[in-house]
Amino acid sequence: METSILSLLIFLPLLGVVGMFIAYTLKQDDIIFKYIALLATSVQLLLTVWLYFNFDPSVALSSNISINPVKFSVQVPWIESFNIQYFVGIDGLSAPLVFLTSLLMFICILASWNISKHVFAYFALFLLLDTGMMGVFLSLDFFLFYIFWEVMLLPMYFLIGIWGGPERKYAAIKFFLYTLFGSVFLLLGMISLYYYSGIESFNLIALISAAPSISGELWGFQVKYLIWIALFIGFAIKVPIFPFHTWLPLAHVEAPTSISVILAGVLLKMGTYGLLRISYPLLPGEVVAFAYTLAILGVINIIWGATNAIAQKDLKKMVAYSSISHMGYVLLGMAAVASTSAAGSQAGMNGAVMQMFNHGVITAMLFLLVGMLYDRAHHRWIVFPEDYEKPELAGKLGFGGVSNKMPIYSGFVMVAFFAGLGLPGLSGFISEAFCFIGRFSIFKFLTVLGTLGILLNAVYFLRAYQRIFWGEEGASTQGLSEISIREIVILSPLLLLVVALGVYPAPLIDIIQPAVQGIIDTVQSAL
Amino acid sequence: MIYLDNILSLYYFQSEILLCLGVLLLLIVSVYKNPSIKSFYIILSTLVLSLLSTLYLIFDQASLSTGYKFLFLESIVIDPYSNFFKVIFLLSVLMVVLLTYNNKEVKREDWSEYYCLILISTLGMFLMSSSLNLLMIYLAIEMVSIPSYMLAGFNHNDKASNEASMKYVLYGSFASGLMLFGMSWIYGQAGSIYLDDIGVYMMNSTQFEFTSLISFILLFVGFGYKISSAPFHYWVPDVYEGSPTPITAFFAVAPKVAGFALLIRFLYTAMAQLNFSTYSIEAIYVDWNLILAVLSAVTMTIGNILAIRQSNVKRVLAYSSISHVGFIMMGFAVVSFTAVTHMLFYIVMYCFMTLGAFAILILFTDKYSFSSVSDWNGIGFIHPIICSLMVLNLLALAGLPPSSGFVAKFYIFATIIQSKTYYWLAVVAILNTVIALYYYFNIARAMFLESPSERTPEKVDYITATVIAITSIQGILFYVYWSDLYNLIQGLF
Repeated sequence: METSILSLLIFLPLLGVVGMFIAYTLKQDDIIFKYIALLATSVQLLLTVWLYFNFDPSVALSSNISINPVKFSVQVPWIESFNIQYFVGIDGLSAPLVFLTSLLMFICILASWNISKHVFAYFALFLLLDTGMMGVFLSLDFFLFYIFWEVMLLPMYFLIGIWGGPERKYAAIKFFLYTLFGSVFLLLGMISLYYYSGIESFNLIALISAAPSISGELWGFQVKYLIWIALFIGFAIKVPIFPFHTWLPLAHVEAPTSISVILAGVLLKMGTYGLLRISYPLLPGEVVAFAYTLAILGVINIIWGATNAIAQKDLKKMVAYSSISHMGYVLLGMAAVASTSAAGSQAGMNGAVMQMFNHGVITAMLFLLVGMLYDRAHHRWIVFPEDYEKPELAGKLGFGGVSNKMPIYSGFVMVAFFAGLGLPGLSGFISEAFCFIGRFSIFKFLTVLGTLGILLNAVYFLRAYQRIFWGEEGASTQGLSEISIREIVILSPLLLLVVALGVYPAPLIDIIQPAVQGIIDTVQSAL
Repeated sequence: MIYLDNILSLYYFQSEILLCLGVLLLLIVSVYKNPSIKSFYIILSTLVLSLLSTLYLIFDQASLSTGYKFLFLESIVIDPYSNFFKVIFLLSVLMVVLLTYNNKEVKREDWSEYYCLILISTLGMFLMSSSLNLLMIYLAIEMVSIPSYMLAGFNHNDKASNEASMKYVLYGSFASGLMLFGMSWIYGQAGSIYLDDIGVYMMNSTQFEFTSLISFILLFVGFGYKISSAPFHYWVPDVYEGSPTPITAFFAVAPKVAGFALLIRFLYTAMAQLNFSTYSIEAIYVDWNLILAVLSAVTMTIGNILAIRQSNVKRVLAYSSISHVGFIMMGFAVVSFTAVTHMLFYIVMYCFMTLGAFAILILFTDKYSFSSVSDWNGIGFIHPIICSLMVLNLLALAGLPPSSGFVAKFYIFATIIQSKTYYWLAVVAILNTVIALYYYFNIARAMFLESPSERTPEKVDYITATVIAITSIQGILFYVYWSDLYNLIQGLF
């Protein structure tokens, strides 16, 4: 079990696809595909729960010493002539994200139960996406990492393109081109690391000790610096960091609910995960040199995302922009790694990883809630836009008084919104506070500027809540019905996590702390 | 090294002789009544026999142990390199022949003529991959080109097909004229037509760099036209569009690969000095790697940018083949055995994925008479499995995982970066990858994202389905495991 569990996590969804294909050739009913997908993801979820209880966070993969076999890790040669390995492993950095992925996958399969268009294709692509995401978080060989990274693009393209909203074709190709543009730079950086490091290996653990010794110049720049830039472009587009963010609002808004959840909940984390897993330990000198820029970009993300969110009339677009803003906190925490105070860098980095997890949960909840409202009202305007198809409605509130019609739903939304704006007692607060504390130890002015974001977050979340749930009942509010048991089941685990981690975040910190400490030690060796 | 006289050479020339016999038989059969099915079986058996005999020569212990064989007074060499290419030619021609079986674009009564031309062309490609002197090279190229001119115009009553043929002839004859002129320059300088002697001359005559450069450029006109590198690519889109689709598939793969086989051999024998004991390159002459690196960047960019605006799928694939030539030529920027290995690896993958895409295009063109991209709208939900395979082929062409095309592209990038020079070429190439994705996925978008138009589903015959399966499945196969193929190619020299 110990050696096969990670491979099982990665390839179980693929097995599900094979099962679905067999069912497809046997001309089975549509419902069978849903059950197979549900089975695959629920087994995956159970496996991650087992993993959680057997996980030993004290073993950090990122520390300088460890090429020693770590619990659960598997290392077998794949392409010997090029020294490519099938190398998977898990540490405190990837564990929360693996758990997040399997939880969100399970929830999203349930949330897309009503899909009736091309059911087989939908669930098959969804499981393929699952394989890609798990692979990214678990691989410790750069080549393997890259392959899983790219594998996700194709299912995502079709999932947005076939099941999305009115602008879906444009959104799908824009997403595809943007992310491909990033990943080709990643590819260049990867191959350069392979040859310049001198060990001709993609092994990320071995590269930790080999990569910092890269020397050489190209076009008047240090090669190391260029590799950092190439990797950064690749990861920044995924995060997305301003100014590479323009694919995000479109893709999130056009995607069907479950896909938005996965996009915001998991895919965005891959960018920051890649930075922490690859750029940070491998190129510590450049990280330190780049920390200030990263901090500025983080602040821009926070303010830009929040101010854009304020301007949105579409609820889903507002949530999408809030994602950009929230990912800014992650960058902010990550920039604190260069802090000379030990407590500061620890708080910042822990906060960043926690924020990755917490934002995954919160934003998943937000998108699910928006989806539920859209399913009922068939629109999600906070305020109808000027060019709305019914001119008599233009400029009027989209909803109003929803809390009378859907009290339970409003409760969920309230918790999600408050978690999003960082109310103490909910999980978002803890991680945001950690990010600020960490960052304050090094970039004081930027941190103060960044705290503006909290205020701006409160503006759009509270205003949206007020306009939709309070006041007089609008025209669209009339036909709304309370959410069903299935929907409550979908939302409850997320709600539980938000509240539990807000009150008692220690379990999460205990897992993250040793791994993050390893990264901090590696980076600070270059200070 | 073994030098064989004319009589002894014949034994090692058996696969070519089999092809000649096939041509003769086809000519005889064509005067009979109803020659179509007979000629199909003749070409099928000729190709299979020739394949078997090539494989026999490869695995024959006696020929292996004695290394290279120089036949017909050193005009032709039989070595692992040429054998490797012969297998590729035979396999791709076999696929094309199988694809014609149920295709209505090439009329059945013309089959004997059609197959005859294809076989002659195949024989020419065999010689291209194994020629060792300039005269043989010229003859081999013409032997591929002249049947190709006729094949391009094979739809006698179709204006586009006639135009294609005419353009092909004009470009082809001009290019081969210039190439012949270049050959005369080289002969004038080196006093020999043998590639080895030319290499020796080049080594000793560094003071005549300029004349060598001119003769190289003139020669490259011929080669460049054959592999359709820019700026000799103008014939490609029109010829590809006008020719019957199976013939387009043939053009896109076999002669191009033969051109590369010849070009690589020419550059590494006559224009560079190799050291086989240490597997290194001692020197190269006239800096052809820089010239070809620039041409590579130009070729792939032109191919990709012009492909964006195309609405006809055949033209899209034509431009895509030009851009792929650019990618393969990236390997020329670096002069090393590794670079050649990676180029050959790319060439194999290119053959498969192009044939895969064309097989599906041929099927749809035949069943639904598709021409523009918008004809593909919604076809994905009528033929889900075939269209999924098409997506796989498109991914491979775009060079994305999960597909073999990614592995090929990865190796080509690795070549450039390993050399730690020509980084700009790598950057141009990655930007091209992004552009390429757009027009390849235009087809995928039409297949799956657009709403379907009304059409009655047609049944897919087994032969075409098999070809599609074979050529497409490798896309995933070589993605999951390619080590053995790589080692095989590495062992060729």
